[in-house]
Amino acid sequence: MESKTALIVDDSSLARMMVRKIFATSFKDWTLKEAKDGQDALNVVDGASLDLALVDFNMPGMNGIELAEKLMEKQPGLSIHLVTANIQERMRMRAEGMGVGFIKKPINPQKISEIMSVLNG
Amino acid sequence: MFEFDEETRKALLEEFFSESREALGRIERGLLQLEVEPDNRALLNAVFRDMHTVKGNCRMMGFSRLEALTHSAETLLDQLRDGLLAFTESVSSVLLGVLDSVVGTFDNIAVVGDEGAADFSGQITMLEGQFAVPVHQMDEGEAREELVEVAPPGEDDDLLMDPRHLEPQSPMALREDDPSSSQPEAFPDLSNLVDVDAADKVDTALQQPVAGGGASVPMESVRLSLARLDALMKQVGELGATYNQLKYILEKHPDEAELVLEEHGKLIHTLQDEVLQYRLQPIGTVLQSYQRLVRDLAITTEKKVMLEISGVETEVDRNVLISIRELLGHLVRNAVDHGIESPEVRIEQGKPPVGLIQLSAEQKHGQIVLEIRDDGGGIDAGQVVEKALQRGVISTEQALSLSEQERLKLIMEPGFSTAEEVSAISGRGTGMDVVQAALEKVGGTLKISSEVGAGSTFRLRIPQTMAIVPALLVTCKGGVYAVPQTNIVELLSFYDDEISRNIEGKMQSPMVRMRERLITLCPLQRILARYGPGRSSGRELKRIRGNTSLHVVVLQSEEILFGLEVDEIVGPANLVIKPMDSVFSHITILSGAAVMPDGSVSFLLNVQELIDFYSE
Repeated sequence: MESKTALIVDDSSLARMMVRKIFATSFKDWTLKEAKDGQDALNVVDGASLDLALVDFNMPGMNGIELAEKLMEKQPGLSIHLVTANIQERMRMRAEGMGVGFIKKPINPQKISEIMSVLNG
Repeated sequence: MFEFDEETRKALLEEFFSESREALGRIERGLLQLEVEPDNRALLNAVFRDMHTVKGNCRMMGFSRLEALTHSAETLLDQLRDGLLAFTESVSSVLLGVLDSVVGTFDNIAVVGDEGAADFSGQITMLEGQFAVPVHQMDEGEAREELVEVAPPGEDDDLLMDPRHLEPQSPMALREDDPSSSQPEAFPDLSNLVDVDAADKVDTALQQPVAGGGASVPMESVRLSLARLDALMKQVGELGATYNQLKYILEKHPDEAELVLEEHGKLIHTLQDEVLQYRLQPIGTVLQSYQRLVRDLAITTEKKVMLEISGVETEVDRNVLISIRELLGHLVRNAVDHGIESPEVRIEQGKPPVGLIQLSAEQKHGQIVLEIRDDGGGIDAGQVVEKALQRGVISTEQALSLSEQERLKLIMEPGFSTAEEVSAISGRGTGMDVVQAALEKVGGTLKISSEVGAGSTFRLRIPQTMAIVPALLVTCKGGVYAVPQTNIVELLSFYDDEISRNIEGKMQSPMVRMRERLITLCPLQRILARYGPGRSSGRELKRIRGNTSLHVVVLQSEEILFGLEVDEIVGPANLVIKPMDSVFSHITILSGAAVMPDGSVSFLLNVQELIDFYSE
């Protein structure tokens, strides 16, 4: 099976580490890239082909929705999911209008695996 | 927390300590600095963000007690950020106390491995004691981030059509022990209801973060504090007193009546202003309701659309607000459906896959300017004309004489959209012609501009209020007309010889001198006779020069200065304007009518339309 690549964007190093550990434990065939904010993420995306992006909403600089929009421009087929604790109704609509999905915090292997099954299916 | 092996957990814990401690250190320095400069917003935002990180980290590690404590602290910081609270020393002390507890608990965790039975309820109570708004009404910081830029929350469901959503359900209603919110059935007629509530807080209530939807803003009822109601009552009382005084003085000393009359007039004026204030409401709730509309439409049409909203704080008369809700909704729908292209087409054309619709509101010269701008495919005026011809909306001769603007505006004509299109577009069984009709009803105007391939802009101007308009009365050919004061720059009057020295014929229109510059002089009588400037410049000049006086009202609309020639300037008046009957709705240069003291009727001139008419 061809190796796939995911991107985690979160300004919390603990959050990134957590996702890194989850991938290392449960999704060994995936490559994980990390970015600490929107600008960093855009740099990472350049020259990389991604399959999945997990994006924190509340970050310094651009927020998750703004980043999602820019990521879409760069890689229209990319599956993007916002990772948030409290999904405000309007925010959810705004993102759904753009075709962005959601994962409710805290993130765990099961939630990621659900998204992946949709990706593969 | 998801169970990792011991080694991983240890590594995560280390990262947790290192990142959180760093953030706590920054928060502490930030709070101390804020005591010196409490208005430093950037610093406050940074402190908020760090607290948010600490809270998120606690949650990730499963330290739920710490999470609850830092969550309360974050909420408090969020209220500070929103300006609901001032940063005082007591706020600072409580927050610094929280830091000490968190650090202490960290030390404990480092030894024992978990937070144990740490009890923060006392501190959480202290934090909540500082809250401007009870905690259950607050949204979490995460979601709040969004609100800072796009503003007050509205109803999550479609506000447009369903009158049930018009019931007062603001968070204030729930907080203040308000009978109307707990027993709405007790008040069958909400439109006549004045809720005794925190009216001074109406605006804050609208801008407040409200927990994930469910709270709508009352549109057809006004919430008024008892204090405000008392103040109104007092004013009415004074009116009654001066009325009695007036009656007495007319009987005994009629020659001194003028003074009392003046006082009476002043009181009425104050009362009008006051009442008018209550009619104004920020437009944000209406604009925000389209977020849902766009989302739903994007999904059904398989497009990707982002709606950006600005100017939510713009205040508009409730009545106007109610009548524009639907027409704006139509324009937004139209933008998604006909403006924005599918992602595939957009990518092909080198555009970002996500289409952008910008919805903005702004107050300008006493009018509200609303703009719906999309970056979609634009409107091809040629194709519009062709379709209008096919559908019999216009005749071939008419088609030839249309300006660009008129050609684009054909899409607003009844009969332009076919029934099948209509149902697919709006799902409400109506076409764009209802937009035009609704707009005319509130005395508004519409301009369309569009560039094929780049997008379209629909620009609406509507009066801020339909109730009382300060105006200048002028006469022309025996009729009395009212010019809205908001459009007036100054008045010019010339007599005898001065006239010839101050007017000139240029190009197609007479010009009048206004200090150093010449501005277009447009005779009101020509406009009323439905004539543009035409080839009349010479004849008009001759007529004006032949008069013994020339009165000019200098008007401004957008960036254009413009002189309106009238027969006489009567004077200012506050007019209660009634909308024009639909029979006259095609006369766009008149935006309403008012009954004059002598029982006659005067018409309110629509300055933008006058200028458009004369310059076309």
